[in-house]
Amino acid sequence: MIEQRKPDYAAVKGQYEALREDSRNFAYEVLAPVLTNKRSQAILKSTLTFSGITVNCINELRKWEMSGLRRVAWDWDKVLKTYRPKPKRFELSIWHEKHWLCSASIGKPTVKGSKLRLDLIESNPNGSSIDGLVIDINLICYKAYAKVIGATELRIMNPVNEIVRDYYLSKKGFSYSQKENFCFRKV
Amino acid sequence: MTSKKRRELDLDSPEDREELRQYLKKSMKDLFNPEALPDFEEKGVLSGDGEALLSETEEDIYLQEIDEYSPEERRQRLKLHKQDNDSDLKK
Repeated sequence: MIEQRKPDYAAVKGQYEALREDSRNFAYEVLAPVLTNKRSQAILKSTLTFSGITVNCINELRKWEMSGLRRVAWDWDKVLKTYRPKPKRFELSIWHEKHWLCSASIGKPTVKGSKLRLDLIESNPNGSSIDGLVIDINLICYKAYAKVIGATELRIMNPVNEIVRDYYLSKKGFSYSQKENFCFRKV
Repeated sequence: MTSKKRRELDLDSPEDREELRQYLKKSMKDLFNPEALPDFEEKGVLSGDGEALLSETEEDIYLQEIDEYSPEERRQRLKLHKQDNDSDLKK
């Protein structure tokens, strides 16, 4: 009998890095060529870039931390240190014109992978060209990854306030768990 | 919260790639609505509790997801609970 070997950590890490990249690419592909932001300005899809939390992104996040404009202050460095060893995590940074970081987010599947949690979303405290679109763009990318890894539920953990929570709930299929303070929908 | 059957997609398969594409196209229609943009500025934190996340362990997350337990794991938890009760009674 041939013993089946479990793939090692490096192989799993590489596999999920590729799935993250593919998920972001598929989500990008389905975005409309022109999007309209909250100020009714047309934003060309070609000016947006999706990426993971790269070194450039970390540098920009540090600038956000020093801006004094954040409503809630957590240490992204510590968050990333906690998430980096989790190979199945999902991460997304959205850039305008390749240099303006519009949003960063991170999440992970539950232990057995049946749900994908969007744990943190932060948009640029100075504002961005995609104001009004940040949540939707994040959700389409997380839905892509959830579908790819076979998760059957997407959760948005700890909405920052009731207004934001109600906006999530205005999206088709979303419900709210008051007990654990997350919005969720089937994938 | 859901018991839908799970299936991972194989992105090397043209059928699965197409399934994902169609799923995302439908999701786009559900999500993006220029008539219903948020009535708040998307500046700063939108979701998450960074401090809580840093103290949360895999075990904490696992214990919250009872529907992810295998039947054996459910039995084990029940058994452990009984042992705790027994030891409480002995005291």
